[in-house]
Amino acid sequence: MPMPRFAHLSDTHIGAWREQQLRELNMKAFEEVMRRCIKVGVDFIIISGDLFDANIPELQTVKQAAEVMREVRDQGIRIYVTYGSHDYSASATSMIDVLNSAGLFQKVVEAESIGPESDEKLRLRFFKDSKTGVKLVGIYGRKNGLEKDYYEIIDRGHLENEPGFKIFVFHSVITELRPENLAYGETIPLSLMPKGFQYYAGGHVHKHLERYIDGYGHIAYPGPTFGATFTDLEDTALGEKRGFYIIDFDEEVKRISFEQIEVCSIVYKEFDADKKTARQVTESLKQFVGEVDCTDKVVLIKVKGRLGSGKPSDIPFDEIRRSLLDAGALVVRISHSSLTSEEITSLKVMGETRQEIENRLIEERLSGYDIDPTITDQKVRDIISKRLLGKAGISTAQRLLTVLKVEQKENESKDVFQSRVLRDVQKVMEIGDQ
Amino acid sequence: MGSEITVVGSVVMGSHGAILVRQRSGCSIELGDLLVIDNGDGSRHILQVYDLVYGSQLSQKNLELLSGMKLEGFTEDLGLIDPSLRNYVLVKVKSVANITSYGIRIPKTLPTFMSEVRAIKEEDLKFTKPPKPIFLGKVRSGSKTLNIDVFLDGDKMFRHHVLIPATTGRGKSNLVKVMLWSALGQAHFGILVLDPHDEYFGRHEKGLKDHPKAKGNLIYYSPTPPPGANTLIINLKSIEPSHFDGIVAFTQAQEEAVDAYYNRFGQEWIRQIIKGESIDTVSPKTITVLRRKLEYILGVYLDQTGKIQCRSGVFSDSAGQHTVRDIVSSLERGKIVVIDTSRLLDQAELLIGSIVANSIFRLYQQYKSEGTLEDKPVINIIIEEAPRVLGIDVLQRVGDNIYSIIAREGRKFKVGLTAITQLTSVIPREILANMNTKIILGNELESERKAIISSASQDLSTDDKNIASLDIGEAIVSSNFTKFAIPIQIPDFNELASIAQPQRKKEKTGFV
Repeated sequence: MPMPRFAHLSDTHIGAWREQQLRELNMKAFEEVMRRCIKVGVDFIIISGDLFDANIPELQTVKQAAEVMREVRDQGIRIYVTYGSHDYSASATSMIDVLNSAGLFQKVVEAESIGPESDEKLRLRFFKDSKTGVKLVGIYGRKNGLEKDYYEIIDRGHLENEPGFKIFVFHSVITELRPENLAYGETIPLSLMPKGFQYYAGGHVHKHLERYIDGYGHIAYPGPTFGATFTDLEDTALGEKRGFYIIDFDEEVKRISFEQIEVCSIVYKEFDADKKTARQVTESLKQFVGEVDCTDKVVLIKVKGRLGSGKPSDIPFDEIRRSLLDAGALVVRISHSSLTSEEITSLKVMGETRQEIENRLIEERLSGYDIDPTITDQKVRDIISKRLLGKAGISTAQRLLTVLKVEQKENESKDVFQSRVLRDVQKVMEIGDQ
Repeated sequence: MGSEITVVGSVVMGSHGAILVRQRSGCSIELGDLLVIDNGDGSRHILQVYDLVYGSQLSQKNLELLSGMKLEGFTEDLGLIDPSLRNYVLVKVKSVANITSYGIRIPKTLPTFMSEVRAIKEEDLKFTKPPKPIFLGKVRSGSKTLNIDVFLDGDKMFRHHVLIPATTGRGKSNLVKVMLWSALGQAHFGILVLDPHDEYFGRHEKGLKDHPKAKGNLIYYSPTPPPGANTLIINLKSIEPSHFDGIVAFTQAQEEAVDAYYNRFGQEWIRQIIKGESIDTVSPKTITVLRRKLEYILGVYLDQTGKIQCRSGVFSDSAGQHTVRDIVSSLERGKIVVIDTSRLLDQAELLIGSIVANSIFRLYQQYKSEGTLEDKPVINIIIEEAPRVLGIDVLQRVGDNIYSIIAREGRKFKVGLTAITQLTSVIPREILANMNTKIILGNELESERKAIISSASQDLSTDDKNIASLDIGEAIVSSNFTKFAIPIQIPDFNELASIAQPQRKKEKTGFV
């Protein structure tokens, strides 16, 4: 009889990415994981948070994910999940809850508050996998590490005294295991984790790592199966492997192997623009476009540094992007958020309140702004003059700042959020129907 | 103390710094007592007793004869006429402060001859509370405690180093806990505490963890942390060859080997040495010895699968990559970081301190060069058994280390040391002179008292007996930031912690 085994994945972030191609690649990676799980004959699968990129993702994406998970379930492989910081919902109205109710998978977080208010404890419930007898218990990940409050009052004795092969499923960064160069906000100290589990199935860290810690056991973060941010893809291009873990076990963990998932090739190129002219940077980019083999590849470009002359807007990023797409690239992403210019001088302003400082900054910036002489359309010139110059400009900028500061509401999808912000911006700019 | 003025003596003779007061009969003046002379113009002299001797109107021979007659039974009712007039106690005092309407001044005049001397009252000493006060205790007059709080300006005190000299059992740890308790409430100072006895956090008893602001301002690292505290795991990559400077004695060949490995492998240098990776330019014998040395100090070894393990769990080649950065960041945000080093070898403890101290010192040097240092909180590193790193023999044998560098140069960069020691005499005078606050506890060793007295901020040349007679919890604060050496009674930390307002229980967490 073969040794029982399970798969552990996390941070699939289904539904992430604006670009259709990247969304599809992400889904492809997820499908590949699920199929490989069937192929290698795992007994169950753990998804330790951020299965979806939002608590209510786009339905088409959910449908695709649900289909592949149903294939897995039909093979008798159960899936156990916990919320991550992205797909968490305080009101249990996340897509995770919907699919949990539909029986597609089992959410392994259930808790009751016990003890007096002065010494409140959180007793977590174990879920037993009927096939293997493994006991799973989990805790959510929440935005900004809010789950730390839960860890502080977990009834540790209850968890630690439970016999058998136990897995703790969580979606938090353990302070002591934070990978180098990865900045996370709130982290959970190892000492808040219950001891004595055979396996700790972690999520939230976007790099795969596995450690054995005395007194605890194997703690593993598989990292994303594809990635949900430019940085993720950049890391992938720089050698970080994406995939999931397969764990063979009997009474103890016997073997942990990392199954790599590679759904596309990624080309990453960094350009240092320090002390260069905008023209020089443009030439370097064009030279790269001419030389790179980007067919069916994701191309990531990062331009950073402080230009010696010219402005970032002088570099034809759109043109570079189009050229690469024309050359066969699947997706092109150019990051130039860390590109600055000597011509963009820093301003020092004094003010007592944030509002005052903002006003002074806007005023300073607008004082040097004039209508571009190449704009000849009188209608456009009138609009700019009426809405963007002088006091009107200051007022427009302030109102723009206000509408751009709004945050996404809970349960509001990214698309709805974007449309709402866009609508508000159009109102401010008075360009709704123009 | 009551408001009634009680005359306890009268000035009879002496000189500046050595005034002789005749004690009034029925009064009992103690060593260390604070006495007062009202000058008549609203100002007053504060005197401190440093010695007590007998005085008599009778000659020594007559006294001896009188005593003999009584002892040998020559007469039954032998006595003196007006004995309280003829025999008395002479009290040696020094004027420690002159209180005027302008504040406390260093005394430069003698009190009037035959002045009446009275016991001190609480209203005689009013200290202005400094801006970032560190509470040390209450003013003590002999063995009596006055209800006058003694604070030092934490910024100045911690920046300009603190020395706490005392022999065992005189209350060093209690004092440090009291100081840290005071600092914890403020978040103005970044204090690193290397705790070889795991006694400050209060894992099983009252400790800093019981402070109402401990949750926000106290960070505790231990190889075996209680729930919620941090596990002390230092990644081997955080260790640089320079961290061993002055902590571990390497031979010339070993030093060269360390440099060669660091140059070749960078942050991986220890890992490669432990794994037995060879370098052509380094002899296998040197590597073997070096490897053994590192294995011993760090407690690391290769297991059967070829993975690096650590006996104490403190050093790792895979975890703890952010630990040093986190500690430094906490210090920079004015937190108190206590590191439980009770399970480590001396050298490993000092090495951890060295890693953190180096990082924070470099960072603060950088802040100074950028001109942003003044916005940063003062950092202080508390180290027990300071001669391990500040002792003359260590500095001569192994050379300077980060602690001695901080002791000499740290104040320029807002980084100070608090050195706790039983042996002041083995610390170089140059370093002692840099320690601008000394909180002197009882010490029965004359040689140590001499070293303390000779390096104090005020003239304590007459205080040898005072220091020798200090009981548990009694201390003298000699600091560049006080006008005179203040005798204090340090409160019992357990009592201090017991009366603290408990941390308010937050609302029910509610699992949603």
